[in-house]
Amino acid sequence: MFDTALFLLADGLTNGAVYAQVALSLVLVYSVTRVVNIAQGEYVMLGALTYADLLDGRMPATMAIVVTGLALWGVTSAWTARHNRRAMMRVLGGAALACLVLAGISAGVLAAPRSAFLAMPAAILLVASLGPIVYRVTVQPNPNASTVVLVIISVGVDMVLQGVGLLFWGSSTYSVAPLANGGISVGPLFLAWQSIAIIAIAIVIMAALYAFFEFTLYGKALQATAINRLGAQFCGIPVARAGALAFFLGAAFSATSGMLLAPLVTAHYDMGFVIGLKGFVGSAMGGLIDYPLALAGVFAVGVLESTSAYAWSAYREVLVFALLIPILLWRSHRLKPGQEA
Amino acid sequence: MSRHIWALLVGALLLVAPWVLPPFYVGLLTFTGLSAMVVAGLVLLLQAGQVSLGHGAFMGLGAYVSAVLCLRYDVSPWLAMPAGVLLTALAAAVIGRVTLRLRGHYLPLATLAWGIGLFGVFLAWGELTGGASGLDKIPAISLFGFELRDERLYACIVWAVALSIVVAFRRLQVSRIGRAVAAVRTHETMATSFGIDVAALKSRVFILSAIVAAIAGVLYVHHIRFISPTPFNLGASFKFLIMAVLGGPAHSAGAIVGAFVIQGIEWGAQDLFANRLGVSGNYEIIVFGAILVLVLVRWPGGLWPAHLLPTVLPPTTGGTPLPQRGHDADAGGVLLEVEDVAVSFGGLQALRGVSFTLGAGEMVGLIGPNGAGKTTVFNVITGLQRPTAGAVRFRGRPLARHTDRIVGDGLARTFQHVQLVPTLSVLENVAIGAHARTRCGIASGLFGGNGAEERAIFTAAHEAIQRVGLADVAYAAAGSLPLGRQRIVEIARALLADPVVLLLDEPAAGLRFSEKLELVKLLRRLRREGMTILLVEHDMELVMSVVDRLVVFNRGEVIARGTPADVQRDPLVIDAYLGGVA
Amino acid sequence: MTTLLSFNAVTVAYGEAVALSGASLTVDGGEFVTVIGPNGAGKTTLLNAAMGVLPAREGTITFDGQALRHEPPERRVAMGMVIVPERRELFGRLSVEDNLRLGAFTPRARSGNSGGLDRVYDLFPVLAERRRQAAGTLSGGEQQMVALGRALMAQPRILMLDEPSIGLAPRIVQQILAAIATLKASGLTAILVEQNAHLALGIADRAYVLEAGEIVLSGTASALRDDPRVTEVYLGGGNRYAETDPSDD
Repeated sequence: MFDTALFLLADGLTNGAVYAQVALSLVLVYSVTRVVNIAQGEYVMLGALTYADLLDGRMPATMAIVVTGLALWGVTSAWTARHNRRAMMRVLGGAALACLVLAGISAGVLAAPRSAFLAMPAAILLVASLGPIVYRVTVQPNPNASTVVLVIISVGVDMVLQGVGLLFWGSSTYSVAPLANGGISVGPLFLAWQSIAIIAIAIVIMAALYAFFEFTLYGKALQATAINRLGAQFCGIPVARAGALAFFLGAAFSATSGMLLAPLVTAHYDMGFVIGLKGFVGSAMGGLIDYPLALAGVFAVGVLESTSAYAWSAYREVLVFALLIPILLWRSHRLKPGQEA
Repeated sequence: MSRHIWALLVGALLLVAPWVLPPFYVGLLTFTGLSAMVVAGLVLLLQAGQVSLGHGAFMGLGAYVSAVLCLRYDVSPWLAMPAGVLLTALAAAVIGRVTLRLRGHYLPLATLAWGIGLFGVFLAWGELTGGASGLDKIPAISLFGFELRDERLYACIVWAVALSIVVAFRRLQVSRIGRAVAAVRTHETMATSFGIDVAALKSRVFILSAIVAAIAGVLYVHHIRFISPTPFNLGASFKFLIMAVLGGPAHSAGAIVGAFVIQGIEWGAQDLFANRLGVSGNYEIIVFGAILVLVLVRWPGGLWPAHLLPTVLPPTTGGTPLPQRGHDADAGGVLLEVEDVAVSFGGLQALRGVSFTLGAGEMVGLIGPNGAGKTTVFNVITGLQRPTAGAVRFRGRPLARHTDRIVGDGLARTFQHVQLVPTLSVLENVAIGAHARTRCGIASGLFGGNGAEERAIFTAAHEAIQRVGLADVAYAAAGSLPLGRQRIVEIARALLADPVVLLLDEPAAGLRFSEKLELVKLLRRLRREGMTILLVEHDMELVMSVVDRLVVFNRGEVIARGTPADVQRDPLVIDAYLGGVA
Repeated sequence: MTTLLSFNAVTVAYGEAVALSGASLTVDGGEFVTVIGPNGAGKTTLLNAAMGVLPAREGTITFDGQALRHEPPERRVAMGMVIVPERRELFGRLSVEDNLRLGAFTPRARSGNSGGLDRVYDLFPVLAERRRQAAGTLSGGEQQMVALGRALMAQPRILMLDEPSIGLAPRIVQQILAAIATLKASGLTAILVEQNAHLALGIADRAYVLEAGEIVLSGTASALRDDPRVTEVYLGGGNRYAETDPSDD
């Protein structure tokens, strides 16, 4: 009994670590840009499939998505800046340069001997560069859009990304080799190296994000933008660029979690959405703005998922999503009358 | 009348179409009609500024309950269908209660989780729902022993229901409740100040939208006579949402437009991918997603510009007059007493020992430099801010505890930042003022029975508009008027609440001189007609020339009271405004 | 003396509401100018237009010879236009020192700002004691000091002060005022927007008086100090709304 509990706990922590990276992305994106990003999970999928392509020696289809996205961004912003030739050329030149750099990196990784340690950063960079493109094309044009409009836009982005995933990768599954095979036994418990890697990398990401926020001026600037947009502008912080950076980092974290998860579940075009939603259920605990509470939330989700998979496997997903109700009740009880959360 | 002809023409076309179209298209038409029902509910939600990402699950819940009752418990479809709708309404009530007090982004998240969770239940509760393989042999609806299994007849029935829902929702949109919904979407504080219970209204609208989704669900399941979880997945919910966004919240008929356009695109795209390009898979979601993003990025207010829609022309005569309160008892007496009121936020003392009175028929101005506490006093009187100490009495009784009750007591206000519904006509905006004096609810809005009351409201609204001199723009969209006239619309709206006291929050802010002159004339006329007015205003020249008395604030305290001439000479006042000797 | 900032017949409106109409003013390098007027006169609007928070509907705003159009606030800060906003707009969760450091975010401010923090701490020693405390937990006066300090960190070529005395106890106002006087003595160019006319006219070189969105008076601060028309502007001495024949409406 104790062994089972221990096993379920370890499994739950692994799940939680996957969702934690998504939750960090969600909180980061929401607090800086007010976008409740329904599409966040698709970066998990793109991360896994891009990584699978690079490991199998294929030029990732993500490259085509990035090129299309950059073209779209280039055309729309060049149109906005059409009265200013220099700004227009700068935009188009920047887009073209970004395409070349990313293509060069991918080609370089493919030319070199297969290595997870080359493929992983390249895949993260490719997927993460989609984040700012999505931000520039869908969020930045309407700085005053309501949260509801921004949510629906992100639903649209989700559908496009998922559809594109289907278009390029089809509905087949891709198996991805773990970083290392096997694992270690700790007493009665067997821990796969991959699980250990997931938890370790999640911890490294959290520590890196913490250090970025705590010890760098850019990290402080991002926090400042989240706390007080106007105040940030009055400090000379370009808030649109801060939004793009939040989308970039969010996409990077989510992509990482996809690559680490893929060896456990195989990569597939619709693997991401539900992971994104589980990240949401956890983040709702912190109202989408509080990092520690969001982390507590996703580990609760992970553990609930692994225990319910054991006890009522058919209702695993139902129980996880039903967790949102007590979370929301808890949040509305913390409110004083007349106050909004 | 031409818009009625249009509606009849479209309706007739839809009811005739099944009898002339080939069978494949009849099936498509039925599904479009079912979608239009769900979308009508989502359009209503959008009108209230809300969004749901899980309406497919409401449709599914209605369908499953009805199917399971028929198959497992041998209940007649005529009982099972209402049971399905009722249970769905209950589920929506619970979700609404949990989320609607929280900020805007929780409802989409909660409905999303609900959609996935319920889908999981359909899949997992095999012994009841048949799991992934579903249930078949669901009985058809029978009428007088005749089974409704004819495709064409069924399409007709579905569209008759869909059209009835859209017509009823349109009736609701232009009724007392519809105006309240628009008020809630644009300015919650204003809605509350006119007696609208915002949380209750949002929750009712949400339940109503779930009910029509369930109606679509039960009609679907007794037509197909087979049920499995797939048609109610998140993809379906998203598709309904796209239809609603494309149709737009401006007019309930947008539901039909949106359903047809998206169904058409889906069908066209599937044909293109499968038959022309030879690829299989539901790639149309790329097109749908792109449409959604494009529409909302380009036209966040909806595709149909308000000026292209028919103007609502309500009758402005007749009807029994609205109930009025007796004002006679007030003559000469004190109406409003603010006694020793203090307010503190955390450690900060915003008001200290504030006392003043307002007598019947008086016009009194509250003035003071920036940060003096005028706004806080105003908020205390209008119930937005609870005092930490002291009391406010209105006509001898303590002030109501809830903001939405205060207007019923006879205090009506205007707002410093104009809070009108820009897309509604002046007449409809003014009619919002009568909310607390009128009763007709959702049912009479949907099905009729509110005719006499509507007539009375608009007769009164028209009188108020004439009283303030806006008769020439009664049917213009409020948002198209210059600011000066918008502020006057606000005064007319407050008058429609039949106030004992009119509270004006900086009515002259931002006006041009000519507009201020008009405002001054109106204030003097209202005053002559016996209206009691409390005025917060920055423009000293204006305020000095219209009020009977002034109460001057500085640093949260009353520093002077008296006639304009007295106050202008008061050294304490001069010091407060120009600053003490530094 | 060259003109650093100028407004040429600038009109600003919130939707339909005209908040500033046809305002013209200039600030020369090294000058300390104040804009006074009762609340609602359009003073904050004037600064918001200068910062690009609100667009000018008509007229032009020029900074250092360059006409400003669509530059967002952050661009203007990078050019050296720095505001101490009325609501302070601090980052409440971040420490005092972080707030100050963020003031020097722009490349212009970071180059040659090695001693910036020390200078702010010299000006307001209490902030040095509270450098680790979250800015949101400070008293109103201390928050105003942080806002002023943060603006100084940006190496302003022109500093715009929006009602620095508002809501503060007289003793604190004196402290802030003393700091502003020190800055003035060091040759800082500034616009001080104030409701408290006596205070503002006591420190500025020149003044403009705003009433209902229009500049109605201007001159040297010493001349306006004894001008009875200033009192009239504040307390509504005019009679344009005098009641005429009641039958005219």
